[in-house]
Amino acid sequence: MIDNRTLRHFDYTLLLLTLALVGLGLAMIYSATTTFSSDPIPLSENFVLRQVLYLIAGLVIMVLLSMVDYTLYATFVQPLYVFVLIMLALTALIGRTYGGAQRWIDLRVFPVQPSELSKLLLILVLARFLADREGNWWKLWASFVVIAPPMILVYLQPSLSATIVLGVIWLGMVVMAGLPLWHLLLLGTGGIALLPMLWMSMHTYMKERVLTFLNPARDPLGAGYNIFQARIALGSGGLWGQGYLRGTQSQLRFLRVRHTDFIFSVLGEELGFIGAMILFLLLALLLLRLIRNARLARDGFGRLTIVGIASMILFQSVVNIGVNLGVLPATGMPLPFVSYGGSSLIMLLAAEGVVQSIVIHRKKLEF
Amino acid sequence: MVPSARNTKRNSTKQPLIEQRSQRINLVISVITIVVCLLALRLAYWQVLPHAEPAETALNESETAAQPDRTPRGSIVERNGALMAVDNTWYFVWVSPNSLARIKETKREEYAKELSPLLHIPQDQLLTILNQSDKPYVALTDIFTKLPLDDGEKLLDLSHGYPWLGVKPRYYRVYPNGMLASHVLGIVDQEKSCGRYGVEEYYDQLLQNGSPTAENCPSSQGPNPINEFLTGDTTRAENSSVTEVVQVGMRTLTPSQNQADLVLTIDRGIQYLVEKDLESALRQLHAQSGTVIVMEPKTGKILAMANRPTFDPNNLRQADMLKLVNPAVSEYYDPGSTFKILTVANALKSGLFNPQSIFHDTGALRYGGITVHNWDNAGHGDVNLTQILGLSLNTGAAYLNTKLGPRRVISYTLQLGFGTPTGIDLAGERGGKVKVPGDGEWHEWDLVTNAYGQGISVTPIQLATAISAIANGGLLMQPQIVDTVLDHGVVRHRESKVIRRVYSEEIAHKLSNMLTESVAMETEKALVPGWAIAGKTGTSNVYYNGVISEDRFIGSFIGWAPADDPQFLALIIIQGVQGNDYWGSQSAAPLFQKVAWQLFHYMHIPPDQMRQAARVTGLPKP
Repeated sequence: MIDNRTLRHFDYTLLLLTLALVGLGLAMIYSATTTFSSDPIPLSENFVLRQVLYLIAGLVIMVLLSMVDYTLYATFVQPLYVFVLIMLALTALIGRTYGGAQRWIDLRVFPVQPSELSKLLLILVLARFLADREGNWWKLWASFVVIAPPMILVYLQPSLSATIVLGVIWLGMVVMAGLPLWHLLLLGTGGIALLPMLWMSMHTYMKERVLTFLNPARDPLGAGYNIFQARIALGSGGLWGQGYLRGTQSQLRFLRVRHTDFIFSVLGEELGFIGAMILFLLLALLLLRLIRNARLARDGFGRLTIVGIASMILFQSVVNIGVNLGVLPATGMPLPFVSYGGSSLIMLLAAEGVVQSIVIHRKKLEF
Repeated sequence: MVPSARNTKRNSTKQPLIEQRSQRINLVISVITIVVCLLALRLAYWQVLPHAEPAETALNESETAAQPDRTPRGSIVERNGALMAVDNTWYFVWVSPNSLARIKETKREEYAKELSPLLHIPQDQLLTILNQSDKPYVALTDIFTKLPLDDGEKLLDLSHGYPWLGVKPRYYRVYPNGMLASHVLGIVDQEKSCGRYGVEEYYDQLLQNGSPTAENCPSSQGPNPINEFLTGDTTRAENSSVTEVVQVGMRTLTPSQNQADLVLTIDRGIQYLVEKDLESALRQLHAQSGTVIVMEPKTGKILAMANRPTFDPNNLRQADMLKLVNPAVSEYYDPGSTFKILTVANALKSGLFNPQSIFHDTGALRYGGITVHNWDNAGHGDVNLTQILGLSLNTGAAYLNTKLGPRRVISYTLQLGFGTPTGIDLAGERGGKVKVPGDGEWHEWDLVTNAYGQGISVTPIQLATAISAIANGGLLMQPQIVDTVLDHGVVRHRESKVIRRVYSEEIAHKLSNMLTESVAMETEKALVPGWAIAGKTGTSNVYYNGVISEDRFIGSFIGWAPADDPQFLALIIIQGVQGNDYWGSQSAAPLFQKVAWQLFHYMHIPPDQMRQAARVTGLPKP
């Protein structure tokens, strides 16, 4: 079923690094969700098993995507783009009706966050758009027109963090495509000038989180709670950690959303600085491997796609770890590959499938 | 620029473009490296450099052992006198192996043999401890080692003869009913001997009874709740003689002369049936969590307050610390359509409407930049106020609020006690959040969304209390969980407290009738044949920590019965139902029905007809 070429050029190093990260994640999810009771755990609460199922689904999707020549993806960008816009608009609309954030569309099998899927699709769309315009700075700027509508729709959901992720993906890709570096300075200045406007348009919950970040003591039992608890968890980890399954903060359930957004704190507490460094190393190696693959890509579309994916993984990791370390305001961003969550994991593995396809099909013909 | 020049320029940039590409890739690599290094540095700052704060907070074995001396805490009983919380004894045992260093090995073996059965520690393990001749102090038990009383007393006797053996009796809290009413009761912090959460924290100073540990507890900062029991007839309370026995429900108790005990308004039987049924309802619906409050509308006394998930107060080591907080008084939710009861009551209060007022429902109402739709997305033509409740029309409720205007709506809402704690005698009560124009969070549309209970954060107890006022003829009562304090043998009852009149008796009566009629129209699943029930369902989004969650709903039902002479009011909240039964009418109403049916029998409330007949014929009231 899987052809020779796929087998021969498949980037096993990338797969191995990915599996190592997901494995580390599974171990921490187990630690974060294990209970002392001997009662059988229903599937709805067995997060480890669920994550394994997501992993398997993701790997299948990854292999399937890697077998297709990636240039095929480039031909579909226009309908994909329209699809993304409709999907996001629908989500924003449903959210409106119920008077709150509605980021999930129930597909019955498992809930998929449209904003997760849209990240990958938009990377492909942007890569195609930018590939033809490399080195031409004003056309690169024009690509913002492509990313702006989905950004607005995601912001309306409302999800500030996903909006920023899209922005960062765009930024990483235009820089790679040759945006003069001094333009970044310009962008930075413009961004700062827009901050007050952003603040005015922010939802109460967003403002609340920013304020709590600036001063966690503002609401130590509410929004500031986890920031404190995460700090205590990390601090009590020390160099070697308290030992797997032995973290008091995590095992005594002081931390909220342990298995998702604060999985890093569980890791930091139980495996210590050393464990965290291993995670950093794995993440860094994975990113560098992606960049190496970007170098190999045979065309701009492939290269930019990989850079887009890499900037997404990098940014999400930095934000998640930053939140855990208390250097960034709390936001619901999972740690790529490690946090529990089907949408995120499957999307990341699908993205790697695209990367694999770019690696596998880097030479046009093969004899 | 001439075309040829442009051409050459393009050609000339061709080579640098590839170079630039490689440069850019290097740039990306450096960014990754720098960012990872910065995070690593930050982490090293937290993890590797010493910090005082985390060490203080992390659980410490020796700290547990060094639990301070305290006098026994007062006990807590429920309204029928059944014990809910009581102090028990544990024995803190330690040895000083270094003072055994110079005696013979065989002697140490003897000691190990003697102590092993009493301490329930294997002999060889004990010997290893006694052989650690460099250690001045090894703790052999902690609060979790619950030695039998006999063994503890024997050890205590032994310790008088063995200078290297220390035994100290200590107290620990036991909750004889296990998880029952755990959120109401709270816990006792084992390290500091402070009452935490629930009644244990609210009445901590009283229960600790001058114990030296009391002053270091968070409760020492608060007001003295005993004052509540002295209001009204202070002199009588002060002069009451010390009683030998006191009748609590069916039981005769002998109050202790040297401590203060509490009698709750909670009824253990009601609490049990509510918890049992809540649990089975959640299981059946595959729901995440639920809360039930049962109270007496006429007095504000809480008969039962239950939450799931909960914790086992006797096994705190395995308890989820986050579940210690009582959601019934500390967590916010958007009350949804149950709030329409108050919207309609407010409309009557304003004098602009009467129950027969007609609203033409087109199925959509635009206001403040949003369009309000009904749950069925349909228009229902001309409807009166009862139908607005019975059909649970968002548009109708929204319309009423637009006519009343923000000033009136907000002031009525605040008068009902929203936005401030109800003052229930449970620790950690929070006040909810009412947005008001000019606070930076109020939007014009909040006027209409508030009409159907969205965009306003309330605690379950606030909603139950406010709607109780309608059941209680318009008087808002302060909810209450402790009925009596047995203060060193002096019996001190707490009087029910009226906070204020929020509706006229006439409006409350009209609302009662409207809700009796509308609940029959809307929610057959809540009805119990033979007893008239007034009530309303609600469905809203799950609201957690300031964020509306993605795909979860809250189904709720609030109702009281008998409608004309309310003996109880129950609020049922079911959160995060998996599947399609998330509407309040499907999830919460059947549970209300189940609970109500049992309460009618448990509380000996005769069916309406029989009761009314008794009134006419002058039969003795059952």
